[in-house]
Parts: sequence; C-alpha cells; structure tokens
Amino acid sequence: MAIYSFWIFDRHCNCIFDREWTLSSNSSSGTVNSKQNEETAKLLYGMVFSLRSMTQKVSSGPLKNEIKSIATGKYRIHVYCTASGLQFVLITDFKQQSYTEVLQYIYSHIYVKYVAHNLFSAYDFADNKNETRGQGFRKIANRNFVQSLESFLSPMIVQ
Amino acid sequence: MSQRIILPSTSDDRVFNNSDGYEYTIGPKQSLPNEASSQPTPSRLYSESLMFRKQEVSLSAVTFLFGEMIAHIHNTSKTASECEVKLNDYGFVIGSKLLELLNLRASVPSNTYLRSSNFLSSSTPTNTSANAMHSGSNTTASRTVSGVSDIYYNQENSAESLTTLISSMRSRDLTILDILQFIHGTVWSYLFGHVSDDLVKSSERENEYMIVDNLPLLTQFIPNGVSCDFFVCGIIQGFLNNAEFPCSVTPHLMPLKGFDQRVIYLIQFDKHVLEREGLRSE
Amino acid sequence: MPQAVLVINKSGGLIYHRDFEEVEVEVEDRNKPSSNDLLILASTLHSTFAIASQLTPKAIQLQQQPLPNLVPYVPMIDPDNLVPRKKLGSFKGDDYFKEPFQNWNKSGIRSIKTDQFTVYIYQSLTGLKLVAMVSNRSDTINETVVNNLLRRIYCLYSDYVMKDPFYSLEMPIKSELFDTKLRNLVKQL
Repeated sequence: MAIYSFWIFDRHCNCIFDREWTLSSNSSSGTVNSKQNEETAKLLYGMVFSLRSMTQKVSSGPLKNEIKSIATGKYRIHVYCTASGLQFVLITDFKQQSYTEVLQYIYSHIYVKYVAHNLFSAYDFADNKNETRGQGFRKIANRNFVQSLESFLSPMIVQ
Repeated sequence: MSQRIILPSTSDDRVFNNSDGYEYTIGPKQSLPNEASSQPTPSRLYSESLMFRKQEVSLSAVTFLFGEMIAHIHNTSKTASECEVKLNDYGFVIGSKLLELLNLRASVPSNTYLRSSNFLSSSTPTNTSANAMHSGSNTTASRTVSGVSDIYYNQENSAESLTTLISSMRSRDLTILDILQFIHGTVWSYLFGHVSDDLVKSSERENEYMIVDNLPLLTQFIPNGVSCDFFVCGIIQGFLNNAEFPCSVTPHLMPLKGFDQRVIYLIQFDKHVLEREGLRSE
Repeated sequence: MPQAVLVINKSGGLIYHRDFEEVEVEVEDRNKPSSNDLLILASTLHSTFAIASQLTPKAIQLQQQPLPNLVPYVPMIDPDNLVPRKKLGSFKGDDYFKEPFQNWNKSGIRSIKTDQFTVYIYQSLTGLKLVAMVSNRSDTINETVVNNLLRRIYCLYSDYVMKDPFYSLEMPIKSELFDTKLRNLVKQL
C-alpha cells in the first residue's frame, strides 16, 4: 500500500489542491500546491473527465455510472465525485483495489470540516462567476485542512 | 605434363600438386583421358528431393503465402470467374507434377521403409541420432524417416539415385475408383498431412464423385473462402487430366454440424471416361 | 461473460465490436450505446491511454524498480468439445498458449472500474488494443482471466483476420469466421 499523490478538482475543472509525495519512505517529502504540477493536473483532469463522460454514456439503467478507479501497469487512480461537482483523486500503487472509503472520509471529515464549515474560506474557488478556463482560481491553503489531511494520509504513504 | 612457365616465389610444393582449381601458374589444363572417362560424382540434389521425408512447414507461413497469392490474383482479375480460372490454372500445374512425383514415390517398395525399423533398434545409435539431428527434428515419426534416408545415403555411395531402390514401377491407375483412392489417400496426405475425410460417389449422376474435406487447410482462415478452393480443384483436375481422366472439378460449401467450413470437391468426369470404364469391365 | 468486446486499431479507430447479451438482463433496461458513441468510446480510450503514461507519479519514476509484469496462465476448459478438442487454427496443441505471458501494456491504462462494469484493455506490441467490458456482477472474472481471454482473442485475430487476403489493414473487421470463433471462445468463460 502506497500513496503517490492526492488532488482536488472543483466544478470549474480547476485543480484547487494538490499534494505529491516523492519519497515513499518519507511522509513529509514532496510538494503541496506546486506550480510544477499544473500541467500534470490538467492532464489528469482531462483523462478522468473524458473517461467519466464515456462511461456514463455507455451505462445502463437510470443510475449514473460513476468511475471508481483507473489502473495502469504502474499505478492506480482512484476517483470520488461529490454531488457538488468536486472530484477527489488519489494516485496509489496498483495493488489496492478500492480507496473509496478513504476518499469519502477525506471529503466528509476533512474537507467539509475545515473548508466547507470554515466561514473564512472561500465558498467557490474561482475568482469570478464566469471562470471556466483556469484563468483565475485560488487553491486551498487552509493550514488546518492540510495538517489533518497529512496526518490522515501519512500512515498509508509508507510502503 | 605441364611445364612451369613462371617460377612462383614460393617453395611450397602443394601449390603445384594438390590443387583442384584453375592454376594461373600452369595455365589451362588438358583433360587427361582417364579423367574424362571417369564417372561424374553423383549429386544428391536431384535424387534427394524425390525421396519422401517428413517435413513440417509452418501453417501460418503457408496461409500467408496463399493469402498473398489470392490477393494478387484478386487485384489483377476483373471478374470473379477470371479469378477462379487463374487459381485453377495455378493448381493445375502443381497437380500435373504431383502425378509424376507421387507415383514415383509410391513405387519405392515399402520394405525399404520396413528395414528402417530394425535400423532404429540396431546397434548404430550414433548414426541415427546424428541423422535425426541433421534433419532438424526429433519426433519419432521423422526419426523413422531419417533412418530410411540413412539407408538411402548408404546406398548412394554405390549408386547415385532413388531409382535403384525401385524394382518395379507402381502400375498405372486405370479405373476411376483406383485413381480417386490414390488422391483421397496419397495426394491428400502429401498436400495436407491427412487423408481426405470422405470419398463419395454421387447417387444421382454416374460421372460425379465427391471428395470431402471437413476443414480445408489453405482456406480455413478466409471467410467465405470457398471460391479460393478452386486452387485445390486445379490440383485435382491437373492430376486427373494428366492421368487421362479428363474432368472438371468445382468446390462446394456444405456445412455440417461442427464443421462450418466443410468443403466438397465435386469431380465430373468426361463422358468418354465412363465409356472406357464400361469397355474395361465388359 | 463479458458484456462487450471491442478491437481498436493503432490509430484509435474502432474496427470490431460485439455485444454479449446476458440472459438475466431485460433488454429494455439497457439503453444501448449507438455506433457513434462506440466510436467516441474507442477514440477516448485510445487518447487517454497515451495520457496515462505521462501521469506516472514522480515517486515511481525515482524508484526505477521493475514492476511485476507477468500474467499467469488460466486454462479455459470447454465442456462441450473437450474430447475431441477441435483444431485451433494454426496453433498446435489444445490451447493457444500454455505459459505465463508478459503484459505488453506497461504504462497505459489496463482497467477502468466503474459502478456498473469494468473495462479491461489488452495491448499488443503493434499497438492494437483489445477491450473487454465486464459487468461487476460476475465476480469470477478478474483481471487475470480477462487478460487470458483477450490474449486468446488476439490469437484468433492473428489467424482469422490477418490471414484473410481480402482484409485491408486498419479497416473494420467483417470476417464471419473471426466473429463465430470469438463468440465460441467467450462462451467458454
């Protein structure tokens, strides 16, 4: 079990939080909200977005067919979508099948608690209403959020 | 006797004596009378290809080659019937040649083959294994065959050709049934590695016979490939025509349960073949 | 039994598609994707497949450790024609292969899991992609089994599509033989 990176995308397709670990032995290694990861974030979002729209198109029945995970020979991408259009993405090693509960916990116990319930935090991370192209958006830099996320995920980072 | 025109700058005597090729120091050599009258060294090349030997060819390679042939014919023909005629012609040549080759092979007495069985159990295992390795195969079947060829090689030292093994040629197939049996058995085994699945006489018409193949080897990968079976028809036709059984052959797809690609080769003999057959039985 | 099998050529075009109806599913329940949807599906898979290798996390790039890549062999027994086993085209023996094999799909997407089904992708060395969509209800089919199935389909492809003189490369597969053989193979699952 190893975790490589964690991402949050908002409903405007912007990456509002990213965290990448570069050393699996060191849970404090890596970057938070790094500028270098902007391109990677776009690729990642693009991939998840197009696969999501595809799987929903070929789904059967009235239920929405949400994507759960995408596996490659090297890593696995876990996706969790909320009703408000947020996407929580976790990249891990390819062995573990399901991280849905982990992502659910991050949403309900960490994001909601420290971001949604925080009066001082932005309600929407886009700078203005018409924002669609990633021109102006903020990132989650909330200290409490980052700390509690860190303490929650760090036991899983070490292989 | 040749004289040294130029004295070469070597003292090695072999330069003058034990050489086979052209010697520039000596010039053109006159053929000596005893050299001219001596027997030419027998070449294995001619007789070896006549000898039966179990050889395995990759089915993929054969079907790819066949596929290319079909594609070429397909591209150069205007109509479907032109395609079929061309394929038929290709097969015809092969069939004509097979008549000669397979009759010759069938004439090699089977006891030559039988001798090979005691050869395998005999006291010269080194020879056998060397030969098996030489033929590049280690299945039991081909070991038997390589045993045969070993005898053949041994005999070759004294005589040069396969003909010495043949005491009497196989008698010519004169009746329709005989020659069809030969096609059903020998020709099919030679071409496809197994005897054909059935040989039937038509109940409706006197001159019609059918050879059945449950899975045609060459066209098994071609969807709706029954028109490609005209190649095999050509082989049968060439074989029969050269044996003086003029006929026409057409392929027909007759699927049975479990054999979706079962093909029947319908052979229609000319009228005079039947008349001749009638005269013979009188 | 998979819901569908697709073949995607190396430029992302859908060249073969076959649906497998499950008996217990009511036909009205499934809104069938149109052929246009399937074309989009194929090209989406193809393009995201390439993106996936770009997204390799830095931690893995730093590791430089070869990851296990061998798929174990899973025999597929057909109870109907076990004896006598039918000939398998140009393949010798009673199965297409009998040893564990390398997964050639090293950095691309191997599977996509959704709420209803899982999509498995097998890639050949030439870039041909074989895709199987498996319902999540069938719990016996896992990645290894599907990889074995898709590799067998690839064997069928090499026989009944590549050896067809009337087939032009990269074009839609219309061979009935390939179709029937594939259906027989899938039935064995």
